[in-house]
Amino acid sequence: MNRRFVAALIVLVAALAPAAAPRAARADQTILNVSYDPTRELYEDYNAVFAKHWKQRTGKDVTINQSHGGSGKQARAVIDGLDADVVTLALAYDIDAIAEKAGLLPHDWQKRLPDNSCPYTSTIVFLVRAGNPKGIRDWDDLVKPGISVITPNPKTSGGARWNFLAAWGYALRRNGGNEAAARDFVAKLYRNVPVLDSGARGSTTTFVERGIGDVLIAWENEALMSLKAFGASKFQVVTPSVTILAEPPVALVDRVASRHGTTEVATAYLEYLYSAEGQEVIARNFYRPRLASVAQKYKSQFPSVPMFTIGEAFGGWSAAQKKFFADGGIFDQIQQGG
Amino acid sequence: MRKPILSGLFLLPIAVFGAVQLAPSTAAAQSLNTRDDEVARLRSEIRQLEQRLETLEAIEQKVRIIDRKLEVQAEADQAKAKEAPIIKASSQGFSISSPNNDYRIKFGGIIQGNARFFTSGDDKTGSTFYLNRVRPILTGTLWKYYDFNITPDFGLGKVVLQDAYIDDTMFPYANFQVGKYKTPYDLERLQSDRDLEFSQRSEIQNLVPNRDYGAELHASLFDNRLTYQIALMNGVPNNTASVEGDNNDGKDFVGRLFATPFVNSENEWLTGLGVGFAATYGHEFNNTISTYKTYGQQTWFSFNKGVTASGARFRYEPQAYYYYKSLGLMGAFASDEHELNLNGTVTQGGTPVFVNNYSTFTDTGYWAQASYVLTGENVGFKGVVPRHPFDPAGGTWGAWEVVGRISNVAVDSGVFKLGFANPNTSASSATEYAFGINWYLNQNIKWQFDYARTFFNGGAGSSKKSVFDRPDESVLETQLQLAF
Repeated sequence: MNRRFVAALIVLVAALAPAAAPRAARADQTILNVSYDPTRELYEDYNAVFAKHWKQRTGKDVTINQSHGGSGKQARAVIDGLDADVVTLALAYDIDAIAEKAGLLPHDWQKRLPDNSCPYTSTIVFLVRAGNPKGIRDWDDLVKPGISVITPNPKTSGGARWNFLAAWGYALRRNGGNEAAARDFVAKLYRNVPVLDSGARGSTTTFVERGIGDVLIAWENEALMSLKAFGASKFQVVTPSVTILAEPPVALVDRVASRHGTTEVATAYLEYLYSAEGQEVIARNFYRPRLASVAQKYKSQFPSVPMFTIGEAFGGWSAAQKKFFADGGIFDQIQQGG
Repeated sequence: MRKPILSGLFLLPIAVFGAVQLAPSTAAAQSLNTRDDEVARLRSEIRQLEQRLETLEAIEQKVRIIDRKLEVQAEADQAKAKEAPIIKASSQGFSISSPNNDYRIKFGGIIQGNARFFTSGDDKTGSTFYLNRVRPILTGTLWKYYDFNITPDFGLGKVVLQDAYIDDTMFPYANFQVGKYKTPYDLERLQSDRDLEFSQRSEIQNLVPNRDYGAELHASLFDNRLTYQIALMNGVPNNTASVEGDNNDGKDFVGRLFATPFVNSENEWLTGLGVGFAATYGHEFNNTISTYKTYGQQTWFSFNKGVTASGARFRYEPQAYYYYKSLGLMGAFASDEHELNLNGTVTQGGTPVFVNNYSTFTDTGYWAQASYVLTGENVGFKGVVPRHPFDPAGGTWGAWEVVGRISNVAVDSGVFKLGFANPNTSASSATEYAFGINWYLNQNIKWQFDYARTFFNGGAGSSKKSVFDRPDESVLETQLQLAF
């Protein structure tokens, strides 16, 4: 009987051991933020702020690892198994793809945080060389012969898709909604693009460091950061007459975070982006904050410009993706000279 | 090219200025028309130079674009290369994996060619050449967390599915395994076949289960200091190579804890210490009752006809190993308590009597083994890796190891008293002494030379006063193993 008791004890201890172990391992946590190309500096800055906040709130240390690349590529990596606790991508379509293809988060993920889970916005502007030697003022100037335009590849870059849609939306408005004219306009624009980088940061490198091109179509934050880094003696930002409101979303990757036991800290990581301190970091890194008080403080940094949204102009990301960027879509047709 | 042109551009206005300044001093000698012609000529040259500069700048831009395109292409190629499958062929086997290792497949195998010669004992016909194990081993991972193993065996002239299981490793503290695999119980059985120090396992195998179907939770915790395994298995008779199907509803609960508390310690005297305890409990009915075998695979104990498993079975085994540099020690004590039913005719006092008895018996055994690598390599639970592979031309001879062990199994004396076994044909205990020399030619080839002698109590008839012992069994066995 005693031997049976010993055996039962062994089985019991063996059964309880796995339950005890994860708790011990949860003292210090690590999460992975899979993001798009130009957010390196933003999240380096924010991670430090959040880690301090988390330590004060819970007494625990958290390490946040980052991964950056073209938004579409990053989404595919998560679908293929990159263990992201949170994703902070360039466009909602890429996070939708993670929800649909891998089922790692619910389909209504965008409803879980304020402002459709977009804690900051940006827009698309032009970065030109100092003195604006080619006289670039608006979208029309980009399709003139002899103008060299730098923009990344919309097949791999979320930023590039915003650029494409901003140009299309402008052309559509200018031509009274004439799709053929818009297509012709955008085709002309891409004929002026000598190099298609895979991501927004690569295009910045092409324009800023390699000295190629007359104008870079860029995220506003990327353009302002280049201006800060290199000074007005090298570049200047040109805001077009109309542009698109870019809303990069963020989301918890539920199943990964649950498996890692990081749901609480990962959720807090995203929620704190909406706090006054988080919004301050956002504005400091040239993204447009949502919080009115912080937006007011940084008003001079972000000129007022008429903007259309993806929903207004294209019926949302799914429709835009299918029409323009899916295999055989309008971008492919333009590239093939169709 | 560009600097001289720029210099020329700077010098030209100076030249023009100089020409104009000098003009008054030579005015008398030059006409106004000549000066105008000169200025026009110089202006034309400047225009030409400016055009050339623009052309050069355009060319330079084109060169930069080409350079950048090459750079972008190189980045794309690099990214593509990162996505290309990784193919490996080495002493570890042959494998294909995705760059992130989330998908991988490995082709391995083990072949053991044996020769066994009885030098004494009952058996005069068992000396033979044979293939002990012939196992292609296919292992891999899908979706990062789903490991699998498929291992058929063509050895001993039979085709048997040895292992086939899926191991879900998504939760590192509770890996979940389903299929057919080694019952997580006996230390000697759990050591990989390729790493065994002897060609045959010890006598203690007569008291422990081999492979079985079931489901298991398992993991290594606390930086590999503690391993737990908890399983629900069909329940198989002891020491049966492969049992397919389950002829009763009773299942075995199996639990094993094995601690290596100093595995991460810097004290090398302690790092190789491991102690554990395992137990199984279940109900078995109508199972075929296993027979007990010697090193030479000869049966030294079997139950009488009409004996079946018929109730609870409880096994437990404290177990340990210790490794320090070239020295290895392993051992275990095993107990097997099982309820049996005898439903048949037995002879009592020379008279055949029909009986239907239920009784519980406890068989016990132990096993202790020592090994030492003469060539200085470290030894461990995962075997010996020779420092220098066998290469006579290079003057290296692989690794050499000497091994010795003792093992014993004692059958519950009640089985004879109650007629469950016949003392004239079955021994009541067997004690095996074995010695061996192992030659590791390289990481994949091992040649083993064993001598095993087994002593028995009883099993060879009886007189009115005593029971005669079965003759000792002496076996010489050699095994050449290729494993990858």
